[in-house]
Amino acid sequence: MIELDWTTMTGKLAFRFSTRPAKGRLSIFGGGMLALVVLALSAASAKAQGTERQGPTGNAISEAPDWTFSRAGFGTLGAVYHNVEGVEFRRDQSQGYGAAAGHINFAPDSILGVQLSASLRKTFEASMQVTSRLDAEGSYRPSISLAFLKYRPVEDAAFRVGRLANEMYLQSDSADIGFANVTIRQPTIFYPRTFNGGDGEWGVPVYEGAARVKVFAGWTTGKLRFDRVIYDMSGSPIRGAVVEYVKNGWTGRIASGSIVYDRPVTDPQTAEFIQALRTFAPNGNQVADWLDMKNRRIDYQQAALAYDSDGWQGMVSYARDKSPTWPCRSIAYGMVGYRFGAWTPYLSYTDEKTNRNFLSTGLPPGNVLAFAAGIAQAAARVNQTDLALGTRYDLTQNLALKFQWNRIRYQDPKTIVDPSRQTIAAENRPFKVMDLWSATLDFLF
Amino acid sequence: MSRRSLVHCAVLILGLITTGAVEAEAVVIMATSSAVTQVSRDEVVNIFTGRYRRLANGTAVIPVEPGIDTPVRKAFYKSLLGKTVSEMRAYWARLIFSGRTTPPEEFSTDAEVVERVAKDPTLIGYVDRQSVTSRVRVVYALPESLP
Repeated sequence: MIELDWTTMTGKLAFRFSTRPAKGRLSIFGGGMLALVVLALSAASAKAQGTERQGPTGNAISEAPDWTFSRAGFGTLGAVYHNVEGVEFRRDQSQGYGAAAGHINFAPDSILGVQLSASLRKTFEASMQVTSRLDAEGSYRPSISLAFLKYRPVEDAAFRVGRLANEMYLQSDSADIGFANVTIRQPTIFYPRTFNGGDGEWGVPVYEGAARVKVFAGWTTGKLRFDRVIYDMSGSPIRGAVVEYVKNGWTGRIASGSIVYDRPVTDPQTAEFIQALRTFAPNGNQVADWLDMKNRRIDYQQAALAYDSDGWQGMVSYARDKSPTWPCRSIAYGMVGYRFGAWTPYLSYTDEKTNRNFLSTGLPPGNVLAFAAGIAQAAARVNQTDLALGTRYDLTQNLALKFQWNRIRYQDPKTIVDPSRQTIAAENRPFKVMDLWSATLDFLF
Repeated sequence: MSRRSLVHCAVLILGLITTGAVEAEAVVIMATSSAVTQVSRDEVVNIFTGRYRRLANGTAVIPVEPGIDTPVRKAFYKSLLGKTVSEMRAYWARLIFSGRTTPPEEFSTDAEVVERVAKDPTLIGYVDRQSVTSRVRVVYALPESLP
């Protein structure tokens, strides 16, 4: 097959066409669903011979009797810069590498997405979205970020099946849509970002506002990168529910759900380390079990309140991730922005905390295996604050510029790759500070 | 030109000078064949933001609107939600690209909106009050419409 491979190296973008065969990246479920969506889109495209007009985001919409066919796209050209030697900044945990010190880097925040949709009499809809962004392997290989069939039997309810965006946190289903967001990066770019499965939602008017209840279930997709290890999180069962109430400019929301990670970390070095722990450490089995990702259940809860009206945009949220064996993690977030003409200056603050009670291996302090066990346990924690100050400038109706400064203070970082953290005993590592400057050009087409 | 016409012209010119632009007065319309005679502001908000597209009497409705560069569109969202056209684009980008819901159908002019609404009692649209014809009924008038 001919495949567009968009790779990037420090600040330089390169395009190349390859003729590599497909590697069976889609599961049977994903492949079947993709075929259905493509079929539906093709049928709609063939029928759409009527008028063409422009939609609300500048997208093209074609109409024919009963059918509406639309295509739309979004993108971000993003640049980041910092000067902390030895540290790489990543937008999120799925990226294979990040921005190194002293260079303007376009890799972490640059994204391109295209979406095709077809709807039949407002009752059936098929959509597919393909996105190119820096992935766990360090390439910009396009991937399917959405592909679903929707059935809306009545106005109040809709059911979707296919590849869907995770809506566990408020606005987490649109983390990549730079134009839709005030800030350059959402505080919690949640993983897994997508899942194969289904969802159903039901809306009802309540006290002159609108309430929405949504339930979803399926199997996660995607990969994460921890240091040199790529963790494939695909196939893990996910389920959850969201209750949202919107009135005027206010949105209140609570969400709850769980994921059961189903795959152990399988890279040879990790396997060797786990084996050594079990063999040589008195308490090695307990620590190894703690680190194991197989059948690890994590429960999520989030409450959020957002305001968006009369020029003001703001949000406060609090989320907790719990696991029967892992430490509980909390994420508190606040953001406020105000629009002055085309300018929207904003300020946000995120505080992620995980308790730092480490399991002892039973080996004496200073032992290499005990040291490594501490580092491994710290990798499952996030202790980090992120203060962001920036502004958005709407150049045109489809084009926005953003400039942002972040002061990130971390003990156990989430997206930052900092090898120097691994030279200090994890139990005693101090906080470290980095400043990050970012600029993005967000667009719709 | 009569003296009365001259006075009218003078008032119009004075009005243009003092306001800087002709104000669009957005009104929400449905077909006269529809049984609906009035909708509330909250219903209008819910319908045009894609939150809930059913009226209090249970009728499901489909929103339509004039083109993005029309003065009435700017006035409508500014008055109804305090939002600019760019902010509405950002709002819809989130919903469209997450596959949640679809925006109102768009027609380039007020006249097209009136034409489509007049033919279909399930449609609800908004236009400048001056574009309203006898084939449609004003079901809601925004209290203040800014240019």
